[in-house]
Amino acid sequence: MNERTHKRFSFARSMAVTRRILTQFRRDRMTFGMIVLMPILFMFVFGATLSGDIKNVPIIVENLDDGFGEINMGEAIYDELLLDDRVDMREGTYLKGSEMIESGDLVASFLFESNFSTEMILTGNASIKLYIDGTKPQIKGVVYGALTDAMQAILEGRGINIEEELAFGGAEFSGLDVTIPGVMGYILTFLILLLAVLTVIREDIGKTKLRLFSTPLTPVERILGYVLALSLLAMLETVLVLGIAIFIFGTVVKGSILLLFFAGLLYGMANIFLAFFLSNFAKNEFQSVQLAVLVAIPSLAFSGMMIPISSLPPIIATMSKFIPLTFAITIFEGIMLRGWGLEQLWFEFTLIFLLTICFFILALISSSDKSKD
Amino acid sequence: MKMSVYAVETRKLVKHYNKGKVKAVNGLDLRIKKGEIYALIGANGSGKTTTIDMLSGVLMPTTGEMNVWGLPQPKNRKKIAHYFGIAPQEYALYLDLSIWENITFFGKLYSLSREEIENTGKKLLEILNLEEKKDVIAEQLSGGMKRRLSIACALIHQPPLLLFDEATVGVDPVLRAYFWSYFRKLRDAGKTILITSHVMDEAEKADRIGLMRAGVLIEEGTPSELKQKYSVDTIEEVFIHLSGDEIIDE
Ligand SMILES: Nc1ncnc2c1ncn2[C@@H]1O[C@H](COP(=O)(O)OP(=O)(O)O)[C@@H](O)[C@H]1O
Ligand SMILES: [Mg+2]
Repeated sequence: MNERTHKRFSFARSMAVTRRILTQFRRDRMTFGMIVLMPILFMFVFGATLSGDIKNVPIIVENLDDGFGEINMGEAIYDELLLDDRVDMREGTYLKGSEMIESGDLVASFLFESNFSTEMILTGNASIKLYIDGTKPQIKGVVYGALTDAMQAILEGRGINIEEELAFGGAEFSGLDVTIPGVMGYILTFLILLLAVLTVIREDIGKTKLRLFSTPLTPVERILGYVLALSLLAMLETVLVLGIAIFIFGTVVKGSILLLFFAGLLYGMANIFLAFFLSNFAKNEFQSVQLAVLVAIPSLAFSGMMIPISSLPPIIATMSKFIPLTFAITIFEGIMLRGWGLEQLWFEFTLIFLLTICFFILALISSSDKSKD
Repeated sequence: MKMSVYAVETRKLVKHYNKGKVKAVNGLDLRIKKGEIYALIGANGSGKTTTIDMLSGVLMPTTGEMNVWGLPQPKNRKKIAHYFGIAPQEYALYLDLSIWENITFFGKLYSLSREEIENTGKKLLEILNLEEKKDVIAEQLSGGMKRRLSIACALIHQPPLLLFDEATVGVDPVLRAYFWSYFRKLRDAGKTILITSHVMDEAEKADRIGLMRAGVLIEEGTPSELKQKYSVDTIEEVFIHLSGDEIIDE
C-alpha cells in the first residue's frame, strides 16, 4: 500500500480549522449579531459618558448683564465660550434651556443677571445661575472646564459663585466613569472570552471532537487554528469600537493607532488562551456562558472601568492589581487619551505579554487530543 | 513501514472505565487481514465502539497492545491517522456546514490538495448519491444522508483501512443493500473494512465475523463456517446458541 508522509506540523491544517470556524460564526446569526451589535450597543450605552476629547456639548448662555460702564463681563465670557469647541452655544433663554435639559436636548443652561458686572467690579464677587444635567459627570466636567477657562481669561482671579442646580440629581451616578478605552477593554474581555469558550465547546456538539482527534490534526495545530479565527474576531471588535469612537463620537486618538490596535490584539489573545483553559471546566454551551460571565464581572467591577480605582475601598483597590483588564485599560487610556507610547507603558505591555504566554502554556498543557474516557 | 498481513492486530487489549468498574473491553485478541471485510458483531454495550476508539488512537487502552496498519498504536497515532478513515456511530459531522464544506474540511486535515478534494469528493458524492444536496446544511439531512456523508468524509483521503461503527444501522433496506455492494467494491479495490453492528444478519454479508460479548470475542469465522459448526441457518442462531439461556444485559 502507498506510503503516506505525516508532517509533524502543518499550517494548512490549522488554516482549515480557522476557515471552518469563521464559516460557522458567519452562519450562526445570533452569535454573529452579537459580535457586531454588542460593541455598537456598548458604545452607545456608555458613549454618553465618554471622557477624553468631548466636543460640541450643547449649552445655552443667557446674558442679561447690563455691564458696568464700558465693561460687560457677561458678554466677554459669552464671546470666549463661542470660540471654545468643547461647547456648542445654542440660542435661547435660561428658562428655555432648563426645559430642554429636562427633555434631554441640552446639557447646561447659564444665566448672567443684569448686575453681574456691577457686582463683580464693586464687591469682587458675583453669581452665575446654572442649571445642568447631572447624569453625565464627564460631560458636566467638560462644561465646567470650558466655563472656568473662559472666566479665567476675563476675570483674572476674581471671585465667582456658581449657583448650581442639578437636573436628575446625579449623586447616584457620580462614581460612574466609563471611558472608550474602558469599553474597548471590556468588549475584548467579555465577548472574546465568550466566543472562545463557545468555539471550543461547540466542537463537542455532534461528537466532532473525537472525530478530529482521530485525524492527523495535532493539538497545537488545532489551538493555532482557533486562535487565528478568534484573533480575527478580536481585530474586528477593536476596529468596530475604534471606528465608532473616532467617526461617531469624534474621539481623537492622541497616540499611535497602530500600537493601540496591537495592544487590543495582544489583550484579546490573552483572553482567547484563558478561555481555552477555562473551557476544560465547561460541559455545555450554557456553562461556557456562565464561565465567561464569572470572569467578566469582577473585571467589570474592579478594573477601574466603571468606578475609578481611587474611589474603591483599599482592599478592593489592591485586588484590581490582579485583574488583567486594569492594565489593559491603562494601556488603552494611555495611548488614546494621553498620547503615551511604549516608553511610558512598557510595564503594562510586558505584564500583558507575560500573561498571554502564561495563559498560552496553560491552554496548551490542558489541551490534548485524546478522549478523557 | 513494516509489512504485515494484518491491517489490525490486538493482543490482550483491555479498556476499563470508572476505575475498573466497567470492563468495556476485556482482553480482546482481534486480527483483521488486509483486504477483507470483517464484521464485529455484538449486542449494545459489548465493547464495539470502545474497540474502534482505541484502534483510531482516540482512546488510550488500559493494558494490551495494538498494531494498526503495521504500526504500534497509540504510539504512532498521528502517523497511523493517514491510513484509516472512520465513520463514527454518531456521524460526527459539522451540522452547521454544508455537505461539501464537511468533505472539504476533512480533506484538508489530511493535507489533500484542492484538486484531490475536488476529484475524490465529486466521485464520492456521485457514488453516495449526494450530488444534488452538495450545498445543503448537514443539519437538514435525513439520517441516511448523514450516514452517507459521514462515510464520504471517511473516504476523502482514500485510506486503505476503513472503520465503520454501526454504519448500516438505522438505514433503510434499499440503502443498506447499496452500502454492502459498495463495501464489496471497496474491498475488491483492495481496501480493508472493519464494520461493527448489533444487528446479527448484517454479518452474513461480511467475509469474516467476530462475535463479541462483554469485551471479548466469543467466536470467529466466515459466515458459512460458523453456520456449519453450529448447524444452524443464520448467524443470529449461532449467537443465540452461544449465549445459552443467559439474558444479555445491554
Ligand atoms: N465513557 C465511558 N465511561 C464509562 N463507561 C462507558 C463509557 N463508554 C462506554 N462505556 C460502557 O462500556 C461498555 C461498552 O460500551 P461500547 O463500547 O459503547 O459498546 P457498543 O459500542 O458495543 O455498544 C458499555 O457498558 C458502556 O456503558
Ligand atoms: Mg457502539
